[in-house]
Amino acid sequence: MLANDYKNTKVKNNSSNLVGQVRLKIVVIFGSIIMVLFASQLVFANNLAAEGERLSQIESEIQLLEAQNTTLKAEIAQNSSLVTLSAKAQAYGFVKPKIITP
Amino acid sequence: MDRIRVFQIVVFLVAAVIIARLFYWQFVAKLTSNIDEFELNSEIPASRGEIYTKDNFPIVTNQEAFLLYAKPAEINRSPKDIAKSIGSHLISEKYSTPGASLTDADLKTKEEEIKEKEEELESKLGNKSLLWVQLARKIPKETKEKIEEQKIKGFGFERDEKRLYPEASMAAQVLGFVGFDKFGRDTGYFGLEGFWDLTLKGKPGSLGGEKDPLGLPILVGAYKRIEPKKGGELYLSIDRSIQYIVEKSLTKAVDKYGAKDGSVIIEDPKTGQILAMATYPTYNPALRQEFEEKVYKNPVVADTFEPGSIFKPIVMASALDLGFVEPQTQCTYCDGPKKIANYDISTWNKKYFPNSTMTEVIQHSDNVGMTFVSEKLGVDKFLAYITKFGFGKVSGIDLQEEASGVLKQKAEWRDIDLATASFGQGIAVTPIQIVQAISAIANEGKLISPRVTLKIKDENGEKLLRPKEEKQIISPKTATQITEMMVNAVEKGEAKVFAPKGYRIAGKTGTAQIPVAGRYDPDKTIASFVGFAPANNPRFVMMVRFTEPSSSPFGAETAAPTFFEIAKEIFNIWGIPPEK
Repeated sequence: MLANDYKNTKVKNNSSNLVGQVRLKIVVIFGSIIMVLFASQLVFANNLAAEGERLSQIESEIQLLEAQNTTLKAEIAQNSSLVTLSAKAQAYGFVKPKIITP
Repeated sequence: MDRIRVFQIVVFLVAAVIIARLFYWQFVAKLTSNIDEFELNSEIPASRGEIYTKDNFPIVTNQEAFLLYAKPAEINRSPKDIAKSIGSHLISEKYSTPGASLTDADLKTKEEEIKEKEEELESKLGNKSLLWVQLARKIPKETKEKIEEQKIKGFGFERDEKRLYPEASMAAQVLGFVGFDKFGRDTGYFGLEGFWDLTLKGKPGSLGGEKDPLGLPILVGAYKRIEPKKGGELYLSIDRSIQYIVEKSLTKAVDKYGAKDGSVIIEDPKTGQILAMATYPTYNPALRQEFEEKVYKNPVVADTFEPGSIFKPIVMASALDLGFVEPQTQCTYCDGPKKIANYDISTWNKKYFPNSTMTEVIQHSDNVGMTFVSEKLGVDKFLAYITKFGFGKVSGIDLQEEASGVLKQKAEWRDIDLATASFGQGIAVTPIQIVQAISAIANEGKLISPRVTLKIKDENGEKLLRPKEEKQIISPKTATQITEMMVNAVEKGEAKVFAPKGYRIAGKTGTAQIPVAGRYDPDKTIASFVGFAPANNPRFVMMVRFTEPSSSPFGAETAAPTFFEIAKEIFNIWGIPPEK
């Protein structure tokens, strides 16, 4: 009887230990995952925070290029306008032909 | 163990202090007034769409400009000194335009403007209760740089765009201009800018999020950027070369004939595309404040007038189409004035041609002959046809402020009204309606509503625009008959001496009296000429109109020569050889 009791108790203890060990492992794993994610978020947020300055620089560059583009387009348009061209043509001595044969 | 325990307690206490401090700053101190400094909430303005002519030239484009603002609380110089140093830079651009020749009167006005501007600036800058005040808008880059050189503390600039007109005043009344609405936002007025304002203005974007004390965006936070959508671009049917020639000829002609004003419209009858549209006097949209507001309006679409004899081909075409007359039908009472009720209908020169054919009625511009035609038509058919030709309603052209003209209700028409309407008096039409109707004749009887914009390009792609209306209103046979009558009128009528040799041009002169206070002014007229060429295969329809020409009241001596002069230029540009 005693031997059987001992065996049963031992088996019971062994199985409790197993469940406990599994639970512990699950807690450890989940805890590790959460810590890794937390750490990743910190790293990511840190990198992103610093990107704000770079973004601002890029946006300024874009604005500058767009402004230069607008200015150049306006200059091209003014220099190629008929008003400008006819004034220049007159200044260079061009005259309208008296006879035109289509 | 004790040391570990002590360390644990210290860490716990430090954490508790930090949390308590954060609680204090967030809930107790309530930093609401400073929170805005760390928020990034701004509208990103959209660029206004450009406008291009047929040859893809940007007749309206944008240039870099700036809004100048000040924070009076931060200014550490005397407002009067600042006002004196920058006032002269912020007055009208006409004084700084290179090559501008200023008269003594202009110089005096300039001094007055500078003084007014300085007083305005001093008042704004001296008001220390203002956190932020706008000093000027749409200032060009050069002016911004001059102000920046002065290094005035408390001044700042914001980007703002401004319209640029590389061709100066070309097609000003067609284009319109951009002003401000009551909220200070850019809004188009008149012409294309007004009609297509929603398309051109685009959609502003927005930028929301948080920023650090240096003003740099914090991307971890609620950073959200919505890109602005640039306004759609308009591509017009306006031919820049023809527009240029038309404006030069018109300016010269208005001066030569001593007219109050003048207009020219040129349309492609096959497509309804407007190739040129000009009015003189005109204005420069970039300096519009220097001009009277009455010149902003486009009289081609907005003004109504009694057309006079240029209306005769339309009435004649209606009677021909119904078979009530033929080109060789003879007028039975054209040997003298015609009495209707208490009125005498007479010819313009008191010359009468018994048994005139319908062709000769148009050639002689015979009012009595047209009365004969109108009696054949009757009020019902007359109204039905001129409505088909587009009178009494807007043409639908894409220009703001189009008028529909005035047509009396059927019940109000008396015999005398029908008679006078047959030669274009007693009804009010717009020039664009006349051009639309004559274009239908030139296009084998098919009416196509006129338009200026061919396509719109935006970020979604290109959208081709179709005419609002396309319909057959008279038969091709009728169109041919009336065309021949109009060719005959040019070759044998009053204007024949001015017509270019070798070309078959269909046309009609008009000399309309102007109604003033219930009667017609005996001296003042609206002189006009409408026609198309080459008659066999019309490439363009043109109408020339002068208001109150003083050198001669007649269309044959003012509008007709101007028409032919422009037509010759078009023949040369397009390489159209003479037909005979």
